This record gives sequence, structure tokens and C-alpha cells, in this order.
Amino acid sequence: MTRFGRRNEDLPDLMAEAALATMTDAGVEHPAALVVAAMNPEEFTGEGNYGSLLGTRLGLSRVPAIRVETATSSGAAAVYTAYAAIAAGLHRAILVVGGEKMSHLATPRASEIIGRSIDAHERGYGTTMPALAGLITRALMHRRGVTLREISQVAVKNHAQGARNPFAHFQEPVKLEAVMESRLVADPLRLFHCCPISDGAAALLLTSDPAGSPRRVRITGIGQGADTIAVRYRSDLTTFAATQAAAQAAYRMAGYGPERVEVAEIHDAFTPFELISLEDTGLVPPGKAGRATLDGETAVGGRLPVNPSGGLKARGHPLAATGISQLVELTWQLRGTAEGRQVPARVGLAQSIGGLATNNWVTLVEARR
Amino acid sequence: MAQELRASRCPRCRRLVVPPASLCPDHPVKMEAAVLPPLGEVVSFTTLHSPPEGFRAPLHLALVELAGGARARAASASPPSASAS
Repeated sequence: MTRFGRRNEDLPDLMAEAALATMTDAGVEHPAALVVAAMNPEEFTGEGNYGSLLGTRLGLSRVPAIRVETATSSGAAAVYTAYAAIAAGLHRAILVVGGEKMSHLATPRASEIIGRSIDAHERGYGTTMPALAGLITRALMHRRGVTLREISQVAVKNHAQGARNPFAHFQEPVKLEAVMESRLVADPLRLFHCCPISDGAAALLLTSDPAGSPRRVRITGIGQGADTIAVRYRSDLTTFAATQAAAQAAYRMAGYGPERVEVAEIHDAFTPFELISLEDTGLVPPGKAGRATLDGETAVGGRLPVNPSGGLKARGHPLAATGISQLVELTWQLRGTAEGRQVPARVGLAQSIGGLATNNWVTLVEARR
Repeated sequence: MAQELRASRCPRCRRLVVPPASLCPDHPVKMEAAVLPPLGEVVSFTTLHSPPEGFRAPLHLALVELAGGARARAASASPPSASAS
């Protein structure tokens, strides 16, 4: 993957940087197919037909290419698409690349484009992603007793971990007071509870070939869950049914449950989402995620390290790169090459949220024996 | 203030949605027209300090539960209060 943050390169160059690093690492020069994830390059960069565009830029112009999109979980959806094609026996090695380029636009413009993944009627009232996250956060605090300190500690933890990740957008720790006193974005949500607008790309090489490098990791479960695009159609704001369904599907496929997971990469686009997601995936019992975070259970060095990469909060969130970058981080963690932030783990879980939890994914990965 | 809100009801699961929709979100069946009183309970609310183009800050947004379980979106230029509808 590339370093995330404000980047001067264009999106195809960022994707090529990530793709070439992955192909070199995997020792594969010519994958059988290419799956490209980009959420909204037409509006962000003015260019479309991204599968073919990237194939030609990469020197893989004759390799079959597909573009996949499920809003902010597009990267995870691309991994699923490639996994399914390999499982069906269509190809033996597929390159998955995802990325987004947004920081050249003014923040209100980038936010408006991201917000197009919200139901049109709700957008008509001025609803943005932070506004929906604000509604969810208030409900979480009011109905579930989650505290401002707990959602702020997620930011403190993920910044501290991002500070040890050379690929992260933010590499500076933040203090709890600074998070709790940062400016209000969508009451009760504050600036330091929100992920930044980042550029970047990430890539993975998926193969059915069991031989080769012992550094490979295995996908043991992958699941998708869906929910209404209109948040007003949902009866509960404090859990994401799409994550719960995705987790159930992934655990069923793997043949085990959350008890075997030793490291997780969670979609903390807004820090309260990390608390919701830890409970939706069953990694933490209902109602306990805030306390577990304050107690350091979810920090590197704790019982279940969550977002050792820094998460979306600190590593950054270049939309379609994110779901792939979570699995890149888990690959490094399971191989034992996550220098400076290595955790002891053999099983990892990645969870990705598309839109306002309309199309979510859970993927389980294991170190090879 | 409107005297009633136009809604749709699913003939199969009885689910109510506002504004009216052609198909139920949970079943591919045609919904029936319904009307609801314009009164409900605020489920959650927020104040958006950087609203999108065309809206003035601060923008107050609420999710309101109406009779029969339909949930509606509301926006206001003044803070929500217990009596707002």
C-alpha cells in the first residue's frame, strides 16, 4: 500500500505504486485478472472506466479488469469479488487494487461527493455523513450509556497506534483533553472523533496456489451484510445490522467464532463506530466496548489489539483503499513484519462499512502453519 | 404546519414509511397510501456546524418516530424542543 495522507500524485499513480509493491512482494508479474475498487473517481478526479484505465497504466492492458463499488467499503467488496472468482475456479491469481484521491478538492466539496451515498430524501434536509454519525452517537450515549470519554479514548488509542505506522496519515499522538475539546462537527461528535480526508491506495494479490511463499496468509471467512440506504427505515441506530450479518456469514464460513480472533482492523470512520462494530462482530460483549477501550483491552499490548494501523482515524480513509489496507495490515501482523506495532496474533478480523452501514463486510484471515 | 403526513404501508408486513414509496423496503410489493398525524417522538437529534451548500449553520436535524413506527427526518433553523413537531 501507499502512505496515506495528502498526496500530490494522481489516482492511477497511487494505485500503480500500491500494485507494484504488492506484485513485487508476491513475486507475481502477471496476474490472471485485475479487480479495481474506486468509490467515486468520476466526481473526485473526472476520470472513469477505472478497470481499463488502471490496467493500461500498470502494463496489464490485456488482463481482464473489473471495477467494484459499494461506497466506502468498495475495497472489501473488491477482495470478495476476487475471492469468489478464485473460489469458482475462474482464475488462480488476481490482483486487487483500491484507492481514492480527494484532498485536491475543498473539504465541503469532497464531503458533498461522499454524502451522495446517503438516501436522497435524507440528503434533502442537509444530512451529511457526519450528521448521521452525530444522530447515531447521541442515540448511543442516551440509550446505551456510552460516554464522551469512551468515544474520545478510541481517538487517543488509534492516534497513538498510527504514530507507529509509517503509512499513516496522522503520525502524532493526541491527548484526551484535546479530543474532548476539539470543535463540534455534529453535536455530540467533535472534529477529533472523525477520520480525515485522505489520498492513497492499497493492493493485495489473491491466489489459490497453496505452494510458494510461507509468508502468505489465508482468508478463512468472508461475509457481506446489507441494510436500508435510508437510515429512517431502521428501528435501531445503535447497532449495524449489516455488520452483524457479515460477521455471522464470515464466522460460519470459517467454522469458528470471535473467540479465536486476536487482532482486528475496524471501520472507525467516526470513533463511536469502533465501539458499535466491536459489539456487532461479537469481539466484545454488548455494552462493554467503551469500558474495554478505557481499560486498554483494545490497545496494542491489550487482550485484543484493535486498529494497530491507527484505523481510519489515524491511518486515514481513502475510501476504496480502506477495506484493502485493513487486510494489508493484518497480513503484515500475521506474518510478523508490522515493525514498531507488531502484536502476537494468528487470526485477524477486518470489518468495513459501506455508506452509513448499508453494505458491510467482515473478513477473517489466518497465518499459515 | 401540515395537518397530516402522507405515508405508505406495506400490505404484507404493515410497515409504514414516509415519504410515500412505491415498493416496501423489505418486500418487492406495491405499498398502499396512508396518512399519519404530524406528531411524533424525537429518536435522536444533532446540530450540524458545517452543513452542505444551500443550508445555514447551525443546522438542527432530528429523526422523529411517528405513529405506527414510521420514522421521519426533520430539519430546523432553531434548536429542537420537546414540543416541536
